[in-house]
Amino acid sequence: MTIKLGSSTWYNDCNGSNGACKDCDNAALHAAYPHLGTGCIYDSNCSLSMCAHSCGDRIHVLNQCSGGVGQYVTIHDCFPLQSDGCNPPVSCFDQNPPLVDLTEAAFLAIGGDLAQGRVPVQVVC
Amino acid sequence: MLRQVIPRRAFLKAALGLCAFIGVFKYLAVDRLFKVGAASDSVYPPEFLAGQVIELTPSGFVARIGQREQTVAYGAATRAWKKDWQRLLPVQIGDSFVAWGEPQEDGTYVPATIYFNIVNLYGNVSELSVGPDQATFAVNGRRKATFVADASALVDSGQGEAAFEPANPPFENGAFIQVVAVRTNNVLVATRILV
Repeated sequence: MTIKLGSSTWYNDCNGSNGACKDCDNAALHAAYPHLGTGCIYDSNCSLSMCAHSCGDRIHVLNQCSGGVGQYVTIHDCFPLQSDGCNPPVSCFDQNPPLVDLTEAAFLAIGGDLAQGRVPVQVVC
Repeated sequence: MLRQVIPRRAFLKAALGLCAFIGVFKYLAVDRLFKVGAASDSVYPPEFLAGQVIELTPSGFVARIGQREQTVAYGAATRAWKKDWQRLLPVQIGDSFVAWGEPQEDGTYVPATIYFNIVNLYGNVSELSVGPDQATFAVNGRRKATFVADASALVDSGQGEAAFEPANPPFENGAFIQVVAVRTNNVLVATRILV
């Protein structure tokens, strides 16, 4: 079990039959993850340090603010971009490169505010 | 008193049974049901709702959710966002929304939080054009979109928030940023820029 600290963002491009796994859905507790065993790996430093997963695998994402709401989400897409390393956030308001991209439903389920755009999280993979 | 009512042997038996039950429950719940990494079915939280406004009503609106219609009624504690957090929103037919709330027994849905026409994109900046009142720029991420930002937008650098300065934006072409915006008349107006 590996614990990573970073940020999570949200996206709404899923239609139920797209994404790297061809089945991501905005209304489900789905996530885009940067290190899929199917060959999707982004960013050489951060993503490679995260556990390799496959489509449908479950990870736990914990909001480090908002009272620490956590949620199990399943991987259905590949996280597309990371600008640099995955340094852990030092406060609720720190904006480090995201580790994982959540669907709107998953982002709201962990107590995230869509208008803020990003939330510090702990990812257990 | 307890000793008089429950014989010692029966009490110990019950206590052992309780411990065994807790042990089995913990094993099942933590190690089996919630195992990280295990493949599992998708979960669709009933609190989530997203769609498009097709009719306004005195208490809210009717939405199209895929092929079905859904009545949405504001509650006393509903928080709504459309560029800003507002209590009385100028909601229009055609607005898209994302909400987290509670489905009611009568079939209506009461949002605790609802966002209208919200957009989020992160990626690299290009085509930056600055002016005294507003700046425009494109962001290339999952898709490419062009944004307009004026002094009402907030810039979050991780060190705090500040008002956006259109003539002196805190990023250049090629920078990696995230933009939260509201879609207004097919224009994406930035509300929050994370740099």
